[in-house]
Amino acid sequence: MIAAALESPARIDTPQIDVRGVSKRYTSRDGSIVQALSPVDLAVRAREFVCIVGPSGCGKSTLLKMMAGTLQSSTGEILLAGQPISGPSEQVGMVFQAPALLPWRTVEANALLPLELQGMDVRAHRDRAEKLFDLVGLSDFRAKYPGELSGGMQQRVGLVRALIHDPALLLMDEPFGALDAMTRETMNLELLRIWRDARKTAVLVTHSIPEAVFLADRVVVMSARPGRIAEVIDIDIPRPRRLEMMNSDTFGGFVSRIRRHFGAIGGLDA
Amino acid sequence: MRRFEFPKLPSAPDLLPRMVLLAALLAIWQLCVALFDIPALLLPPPSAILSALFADLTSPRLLWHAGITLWEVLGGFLLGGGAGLALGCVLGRYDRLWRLTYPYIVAFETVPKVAIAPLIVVWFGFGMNSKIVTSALICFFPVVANTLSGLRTTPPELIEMMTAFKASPGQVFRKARLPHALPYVFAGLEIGIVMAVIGAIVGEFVGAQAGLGFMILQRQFAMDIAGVFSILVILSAFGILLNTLIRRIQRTVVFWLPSPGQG
Repeated sequence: MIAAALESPARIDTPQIDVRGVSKRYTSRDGSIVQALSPVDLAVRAREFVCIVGPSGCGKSTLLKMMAGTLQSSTGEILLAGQPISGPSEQVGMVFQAPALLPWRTVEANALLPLELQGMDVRAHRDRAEKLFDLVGLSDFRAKYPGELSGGMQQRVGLVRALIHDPALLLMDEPFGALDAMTRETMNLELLRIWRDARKTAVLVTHSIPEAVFLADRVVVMSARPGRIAEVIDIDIPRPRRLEMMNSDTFGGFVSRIRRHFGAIGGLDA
Repeated sequence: MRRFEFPKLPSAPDLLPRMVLLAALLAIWQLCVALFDIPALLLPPPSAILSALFADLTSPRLLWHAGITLWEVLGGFLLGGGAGLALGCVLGRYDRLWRLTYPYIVAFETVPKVAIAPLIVVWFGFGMNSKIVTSALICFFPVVANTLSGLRTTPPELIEMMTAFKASPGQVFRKARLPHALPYVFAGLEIGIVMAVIGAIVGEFVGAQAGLGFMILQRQFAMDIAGVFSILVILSAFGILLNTLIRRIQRTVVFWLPSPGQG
């Protein structure tokens, strides 16, 4: 009891994710060792929205996969709510670059998949599913198959799927990279609304600097060869954010400050 | 899941030219036989084949033989296709087992199954069993190979997604890899059903007391060439019927893919 009481104030300050000296090395096919990610440290607070931005090959997706527990780090450790990650966790919901929906399942069955895989009661979560589908405007499409949906709608299904088991942490790997610019902006707005309502911690990896600035409380700027964190920038643009804010000087200032990191290596490819 | 659809007849605009083409070819054939005085022993005229076919289709004896062959084909197909699907799944699920056994599987695959048919008659006798086994053996490998390649080509992003949501290897197999492999399995079954017909006929050629293959040999000995052609027509009808059946089932099961060659 005493130990628990002593622990509780500390727990409030425990970051949702604590990345400690994490690096990744691959052995390539010809036997040479590739350093995909130099040791990095990063702490993400509960309910914070962090965007990781960087050029291809900077290890940003690698870092995200290690947070998701689908990839093992070569050194260091990642703590999820104070516990070291040893594999995929039900506290994590992930959105992928390709929607990665199962084409033979209806939209609803796709969204309920995490519950099914984790042996949770699917029926007990019907209400929750309904609410989430409402939130992303897909209520009328629950009985459709993914092949009948547009790219933006498929990504919305991916978002519902990531949130269905009520994880504390939402990880997104370039979720809107394949969408057209207009759909992308709409999805960004929706994402912010869902994130605020659902009170999740969010980490999003992106190629797009404006997208990162628009969404994030903090932007983690990474650079390539070897992948490392170049700068972490606090984005103090007030919330709720609106698309017009992208035209403000403050916004432009953040964008050009981040862009400067990539000037030397030819900029980002998006 | 979509409802099972019965095969549609080709639509009228397709049907008419096709029938005209068939009639024209048969007419040319008939004409050539008459014009060049080809003996019926070498190439009977279509009219003779048609009358033989009509006699066959109304003869209970021949229909009994056809029934035997159909039974052998279906038995062989179910046995070989089922075993092929099962082995493909086991090898696709357990990679170590695959690595252990695949040299032997490849070695066995390269043996012409037709060449084993005499052995199979020795082992399983002159009755239907030996034909079912030959038929099963010959349609087994296309199904194994297709099942395996279907399981192996599951998009890595689907597997990664399943893993990220804590799926066990068994769940990844059942809920992602196997459904993904189904179109490939059906492609294998489509080849398999045609192979099963070949297997049954070869089995009957090697040694049998009944069946359409056995009848072909009998009529050949009796120089009834029009009769041989008549059986060939029946066999080809079998092939078309069974193949169409598989395609229809495929369209129902693999409903999420646009079916190739519709109409």
